[in-house]
Formats: sequence, C-alpha cells, structure tokens
Amino acid sequence: MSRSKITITIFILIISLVNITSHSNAQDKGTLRGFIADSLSGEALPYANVYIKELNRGANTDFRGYFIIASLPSSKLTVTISYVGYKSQQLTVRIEPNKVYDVKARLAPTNIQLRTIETTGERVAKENDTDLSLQRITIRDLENLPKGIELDIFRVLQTMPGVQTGGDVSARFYVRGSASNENLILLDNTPIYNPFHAMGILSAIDPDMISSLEFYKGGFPVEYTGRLSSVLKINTKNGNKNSISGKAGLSLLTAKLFLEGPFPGGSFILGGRKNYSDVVLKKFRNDNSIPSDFYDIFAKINIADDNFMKDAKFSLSTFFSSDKVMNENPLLEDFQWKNNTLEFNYFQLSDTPLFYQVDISLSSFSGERIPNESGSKYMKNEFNEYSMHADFNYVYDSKDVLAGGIKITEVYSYQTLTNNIGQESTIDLKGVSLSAYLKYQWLRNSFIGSDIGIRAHGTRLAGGGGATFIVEPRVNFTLRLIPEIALKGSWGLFMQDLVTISDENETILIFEPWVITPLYLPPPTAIHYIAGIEINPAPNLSFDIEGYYKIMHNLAIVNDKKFFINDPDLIPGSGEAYGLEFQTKYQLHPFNFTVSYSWMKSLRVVRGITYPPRFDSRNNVNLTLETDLGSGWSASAMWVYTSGLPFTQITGYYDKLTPIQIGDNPFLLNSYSPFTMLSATNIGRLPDYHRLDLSLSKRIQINNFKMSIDLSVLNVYDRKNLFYFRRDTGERVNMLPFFPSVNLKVEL
Amino acid sequence: MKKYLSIIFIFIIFVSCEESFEPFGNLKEKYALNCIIRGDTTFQVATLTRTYANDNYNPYSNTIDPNVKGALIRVWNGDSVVIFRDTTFNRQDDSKYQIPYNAYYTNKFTLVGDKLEIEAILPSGMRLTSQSNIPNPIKFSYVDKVVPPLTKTYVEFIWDVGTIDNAYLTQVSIYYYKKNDPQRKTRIAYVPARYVNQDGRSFAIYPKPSNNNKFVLDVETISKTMQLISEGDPDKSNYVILGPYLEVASFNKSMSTYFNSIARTNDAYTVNLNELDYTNINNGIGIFGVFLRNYWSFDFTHAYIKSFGYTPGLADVVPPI
Repeated sequence: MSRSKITITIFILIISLVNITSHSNAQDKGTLRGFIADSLSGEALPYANVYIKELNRGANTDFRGYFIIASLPSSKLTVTISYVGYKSQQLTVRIEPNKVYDVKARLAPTNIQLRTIETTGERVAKENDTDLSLQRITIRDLENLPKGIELDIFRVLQTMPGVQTGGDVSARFYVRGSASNENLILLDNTPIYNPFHAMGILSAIDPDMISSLEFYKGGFPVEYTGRLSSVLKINTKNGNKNSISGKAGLSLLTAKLFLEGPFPGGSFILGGRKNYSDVVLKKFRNDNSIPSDFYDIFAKINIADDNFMKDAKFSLSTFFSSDKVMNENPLLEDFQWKNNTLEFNYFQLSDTPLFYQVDISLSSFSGERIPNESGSKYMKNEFNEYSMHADFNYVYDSKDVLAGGIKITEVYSYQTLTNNIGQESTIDLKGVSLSAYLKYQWLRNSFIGSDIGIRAHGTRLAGGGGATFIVEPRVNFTLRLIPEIALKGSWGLFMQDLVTISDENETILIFEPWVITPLYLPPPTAIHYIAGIEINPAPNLSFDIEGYYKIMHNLAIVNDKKFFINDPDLIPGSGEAYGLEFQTKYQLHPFNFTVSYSWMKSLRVVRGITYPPRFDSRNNVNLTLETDLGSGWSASAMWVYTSGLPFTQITGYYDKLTPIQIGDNPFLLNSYSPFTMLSATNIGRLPDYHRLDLSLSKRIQINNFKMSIDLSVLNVYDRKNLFYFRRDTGERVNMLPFFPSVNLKVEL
Repeated sequence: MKKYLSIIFIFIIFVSCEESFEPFGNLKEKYALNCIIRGDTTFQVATLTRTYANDNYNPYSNTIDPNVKGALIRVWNGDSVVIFRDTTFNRQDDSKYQIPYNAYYTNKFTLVGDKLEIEAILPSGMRLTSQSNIPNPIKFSYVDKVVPPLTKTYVEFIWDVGTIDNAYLTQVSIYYYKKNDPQRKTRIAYVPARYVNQDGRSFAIYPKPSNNNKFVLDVETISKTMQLISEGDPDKSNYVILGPYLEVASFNKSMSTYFNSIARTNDAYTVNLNELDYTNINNGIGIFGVFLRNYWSFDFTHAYIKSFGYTPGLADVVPPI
C-alpha cells in the first residue's frame, strides 16, 4: 500500500471515530442560523459579529453573510448582531431541540466611516477560529487607506507583514519568500491567471465590485489547491436588491461606471473601467511612455427567491479584462493579453445545519507578444480552465464541522516561443484533474479548535513525476490559553500543477505565460510549518506574531540557458523560506493605528547554486494611521520601509566579441563592446526602500447623492528609491517620485 | 511644537536624500580568448584580453588597452599543430584605445578533419583551452537565379538542413563600381532583410542568425537598396552594376550558441537583471568556433539595372519561366 493510501485510510478512520462521538454528544440541542445584510441595499455583510449574551458565545458571518451557531440549549436567547459602520441590532430567538432557527437581519448603516463602533462579542466569535495566516478584509477596511493613483487591492496586500513587493512599478506580490506565480487568485471561485493591467502596474480587479477579501498567507485549508504559497479569494458584491443605484469614478488614470439594482428574484451588478491616459503610467517608468490601453468589465446576476427555490441562491457572473500595449513604431514590439471568466454558482441551505454548493466555471487567458521589427521574439500563450466543484459543510450539534467536496478541472495550455535563432517551439498540453477533500473541524471546546483535512488527487494535470495518486494533508489548530491569548499552528503539504514561463529576474513582467508543468519536470510541491500567537490585552489592542518555515521542491525555473529547440524551457529548482511577522493594531477614537514588522529569508537552489531570489527583502516595516476628522472628513498616512532587495553585482568588464555582420571586415579585431562581468547571483543589496503616502478624503451625502473626493500624495518626501541600475550606461533608474493624485467618485 | 516640527523636518531632509549605491563588487580577473576560424581562408586571427575594472559607471570610458601580449596560442587541426604569432594590427577605430591592437595570427591554416582544439598559455602560465567541431558546407537545393523573377515578387534560396542546432547568417550584397573612378574600385551595397518606415524615415533591418534553411528576399527590398546606391547623385549612368550574390555563413554549434547568446533582445519594457554570457573556453571566457562561408551568385536583368538609370556591367540574362 502506498504512503498516500495509508494517509487517506488513517484520516478516514479518525473522522469516522470523531463522527460517532459528535453524534453521541448531540442531545436536545438546537441550532441558530442566519443571514445578515445591509438594510438599504440588501448586500450581504461579511464577517459581521453575532453574539449570544446569555451563553457568551458567538460567531462571524462568512463572506456570503451567513452564520451558524450549533449546540444551543433550548431556551429564549438574546442575539446581538453588530458590524463596522452599522447600527447594532438585538433579537430574541427561541431555540428548540433538533431544529434550525433561521434569522434574517438587516442592519442600517451609520455615517461613521471608521471601525469605532462596538463589535460586540468579536473576541468570543473567533475564540477557537483556526485562522492562522488568514486575513479577512472587507472593502470598508480599505476605504480610508491612501489610494494612490486609485485603490488597488493587490497594493493593499503589499502592506501586510510577510508580503513583499517588486517595487512601485508592480502590483505583483510575493508571499513569504515565494514567487508571484505561487499565489492562487480567485474571483469568487474562479482562478484568474494574469489579473494585471498596464504590465503589472495596476490590478485588473476593480475594488468597486468587491465585497470582501480572504487572504491566506500560508497553511491554507484543503478547500484550496493548486498553488504552493498563498490564496487570495476575492468575494464580489451581489448588488442592490432594493433599488437601482449607480456610481461613477474618475482618477488620473481611469474612468469607471458601476450600476447595481434589483433583478427579478434577486439583484445584478455591472461595472466597467477604462483607462484614458498614460500620463500617470510614465511616472512609473522614469518618464518613459507606456502606450497602454486597457479596460475591464464585471457583471453578475444573483437570484435568491424562496418562491422559486427555498433557501437557494444562484449566481452567474463574468469578468473580462483586456490590455494592449501598441507602439506605433514598427521597431518596437506590441503586446496584447486578455482574461475572461464565467462562473455559475448554486448555493443551498438545507433544513439541517448543512449547506452545499455547486460551482461551474471557465477561466481563460490569452497573451501575445508581436515583435514587429524590434528583434524580440514572437510569443503566444493560451490557457483555458474548465472546472466544476461541489462542496458541502455540515455543523454537528457538538459544534464540530465536517466539510468536503469534489473537484474536476480540465486545463488546456498552449505556449509558442521563438528562440533567437528562429526556432519555434510549442508546449501544447491538456490535462484533467480529479480530486476530493474531506475536512473535520474540531470546535466543540471553546478553548481549542482544530481542523484536519486531506485532499486526494485521483488524476493530476501535470503528468511528470510518476505517481498520479497524491494527497495533500493539512492540519491547523488554535489553543486559547486564556481569553486574551491564543496559540496557533499549521502544517500542510501543497502541490502545484500549473507553472509560468517567466523569468523572476525580469523586473517588469508584461504578463506571465501559464502552462501545465511539462512532462519532463515533476510538479512543484511545498511543505509549510507555521506557528503563531495572538494576544488581545484589550478590546482595542491586538498583537499577532507568526513564524513560518517553508520548503519547496521541483520549482519550475525558467531556463536562462535555453539556446536550442531541444533545450528545456524550464528546469527544476528548490527553495526554502523562513521568517517572523509581527503586527499590532490599536484603536483610540478617532484614530486607528497599525504597526507591522516582518523579517524573512528566502533562498533558491538552481543548478546546485544557492542564492536569494529577487524579492528576498529581509526587513519590512509598515505604519498606518487612519483618522476620522468628523463632518465626512478622514485622513490617513502610511509609511513603508523595505530593506534593500538583492541584486547581482558588477565585478568588472571585458571587451566581448559582438559581431553584427560577418562580412569581409576583420570583425575579430573590430567588433567588440564592453560586457559586464557579474558576481554570484544576487549577493549585493540595493539601497533600502521607504515611502510616505498621505491621503485626505471628504465624503458628502445629500439624500441619495453621495460624493467622495480623495486627495493623495505619494512619496511625500520624494525619496529616490532605486528601481534598477543600467549596467550599460551607468544610469540610475528610480521608482515613483513625489506624486499628488486625486480620485473622484459620485454615487446615486 | 517647534521641537517636533524640527525633528520632522530633519527626518524628511535625512530620508529624502538619494542614497548612494555601489553596484560594484571585487574585480573578478579573467581572460577572454576569441578565435573564430573562417573556413575559406588560411589567414586566422585570435585575440586575448583581460577583464578590467572601471572607476565610473560607464564601461565605455575605459581607455587602458586590455589586450594580453606574449601568450602562446596553438590550434590542433587534424594531425598538425598551428602556432599563432604575436603581432600588432592598426585599429579601424582608435577613439577608445590609442595604441595598435595586439593579436595573434597565422596565414598557414587549412581546415582538415572535423574537429579543432585550441590552447592559449598566458605569460603567467595560465592555460585556456577549447574544442570546436567543423560545420558541414551547405548545399543549395533551390535558388532563384535572376532578379526580377517573372512570376513572383520575391527571390528564394533554400539549402539542405544541416544538424538541427546549426545557425545560418545570410547576406545579399550588390557589387558595383563607378565609371569615373580611375581605379574602378569594387564597392558593395548590403541588402537588408527589409526596410521599415517610422516617422517618415526608413530603417534597414539586417538578417540575424537563424536556424531556417531558407532565405526569402522581396524584390522591393533589393530595388530600394539599388536606389540608395546613388542617392543624391544625378549621374546614375556612372554606376556600373556587376550583380548580386548571396552569402550564407554556417556556424557550428558553439558559434550558433554564441551568436544566439549575443542576439538575445529584451522587449522595450522588460528589464532583465541577469546577463547571459556563453563561453566555450575552459578556464576563461570568449569563444572558439568555426564558420564556413557559402556563396551563390545570381543576376540582375539589364532591363532591371537600367530601370534605375544604371549601367549593366555583365552580360544580360533571361529570367527562367
């Protein structure tokens, strides 16, 4: 019996045993279940607090606005529901044995912009949450941060401890020493492969369509698979169920429109964004032009009509983004790339504490580099993923949760490359992945929470590496020693079948071509070990400390010595990363103060040579201050510090033979130009990066008309942060200079 | 309050300064040996240079000649050994290094066998070595013989495929002379792969090393080169056109790889923080390779030459149907 099969057998035995005890504990208990929404729009409120006063118990709503509290004694209970920026609501419910009591609460928004109102029972709700390395963010959390050119969710992630950035020029993010292609980015349940505009400067996801974000920096549960490093799940809004409303926004880069309103049996949203100028983009490239043209569109229809199907919710959504970099100069190359997603989701609550969902999705990407007469080479990438998954979640009377699901994915990837001597090579691969997972969450004791899960792959997309039947076991636990202190831990195995053919030494990636791991390489794997401590000495003060160690095998590294058609595009590498992260949040009305610090070290081993990757920034500090100045005014400041990124030093020059033409000239004597000799990879360090951004916002509301103006100043003290150094000319290229920006948004 | 403002002001002044940056590590002393054997001549050259540091950031500002004298360079060719002599050549461009070029040469070299070996022993005793295979000469399997062809707007040349990793560099040249030149010096106009127009200006795009065993050239490109021969000169008949010919240089694998490495071009936006530096020199850097030059001579019709106002220099030809 293989090791994978033994692991699965043990896991099923454990779950069966725990299952029996769960049922034996369940006598005369009832369940409270509910949905919390905004009273004006009907939009679900993610991560709202639900607190039962008599029992000192609580729960948070999930990203859909649902919550469930099991194992309640049959009695009359007082339930308090609270949410940032909304008036709290108190309800009385009568719990009956072996029944599910449904609550639908609608909270009225207040005009308070910041998180200063009561969040009753917040600590109680998450007492045994197995949420190590997880950040849950609602869009309201982001509204007061300095927006820069415009609010960008990926740039917000870069301010979190453990998340590195490639600099001002890229919205790509690197989590805990892993490459950017090891992050799974889900729009609802559909992966997006290149969600960037303008060569990575801006994310393609318009924040106006987002309800909340769930960001796992590591140790993510078995529901998620296919990446080694992190998961960013972007939960989109459902739209206003009560009335039609619209928003228009204008920044220095884009103009956008957003419409939402009721739809028979539900609601819809429709939003689009288009750039109108590349003046701002020039600032990111040392005043060099980027003839970029892009837009994105998102549309979603939701149906949740009990007359049609009780306790069911259907949604159909699509996202489309398109980018073009078209030079009118035939001596320069052109680029174009597109993302397209389509998703159908069916979510069903049952009469028991069970919910399940079925999700069918398509995600496609196509990208092309058209060389014209530039001398660069033609490249085309096409990628299509069709996926279907069904998941269930059952809450026992003991409060334990059993979750599981099955997922079928078919991927087609096509990549054509032309090398420098005109040889065209293609990677044309198709694969089907069939996997199932089961997860048991032990939540019956308030001081301890754990989940143990396993995902088994029957078939995998990548064919290399022999075995196709592979498992991903993962364990998370929380041990709350006293109400103010919790210890947390996580361990798991992670696999990735899809890789990109992109060179991490390239500072600007136009787009990343995705392919199924070619047959000659085993698929990449990683193991995460994470430990953390959460301290909440007061309701308005929290400390989070996390340490991690991550080891990675079979990383697909682009072969920089591919000269010929038979040379592989990718070669295997390995790596490890470890670090320590610290974050504290302090709220003292009207101020919110966040301090985070992280130390990390990341290493790669390629061709037997060990070096730090380009995003290995050892020390990172983020300081954020938000304040409500009253009368609709708010202000914020953010200071970011990153110790110098690695670079490869110059160790001298030599006159290299560089003949362009071999004619009758004695080229061996005359065709030389200076060539840089380099040190071992990345042993030098660039100067430290730091930047201060300030923002001032004013919100005006007259009846249904809302307007907001945001003034931001980026790089207030005009720090000359070094982007890169041109070896051929000695030119120093800096990142974004002092830059004022304005955003305007009107809402009806 | 003043105290706090002063601290903030000092802090801003301190952090907003551009931080100095030192991109250099310690000089890595290495030697570069370059020797590319041409298959069609007995005269061969090898060069030997050392790496150098530079105090400022512009590598073009170095004016200290990095050539190395006094080395012993030998090439094993079949059963024989050829020794390259230490000598000096005048530079075509002496703007950077003002002294003559120190290099090594032989004029007694004839390719035999299928493999060459080189050894350079430096005055310090350091030994650099390399090996190289000799590529096969190419055989044309299809050629257009006359410009302009009757039924198409391009000319085409196809040759048999060598080994898959061989690269070829093509060049079409037009030979001509001027009647009023008493020495009747033969001049050459190189025909690019194509011309592109940008902002009203025309740019020539020259062929690059390629694995393709085929070369296609538009007649329009040849015609544009023909026009440029006498651009600005009203006396067109002064130009006597001898004819065009195609040269195909075939490279062995190490030469192909080397050309491939220097031909790498990033797009206009990508900044690659690494440099690719291919070498096949053991214990050093540089290149030891072999290339063969293969020629195909074709013709212009008199009518075509006269359409530019030029004078045909050779007998007329009739395009095949």
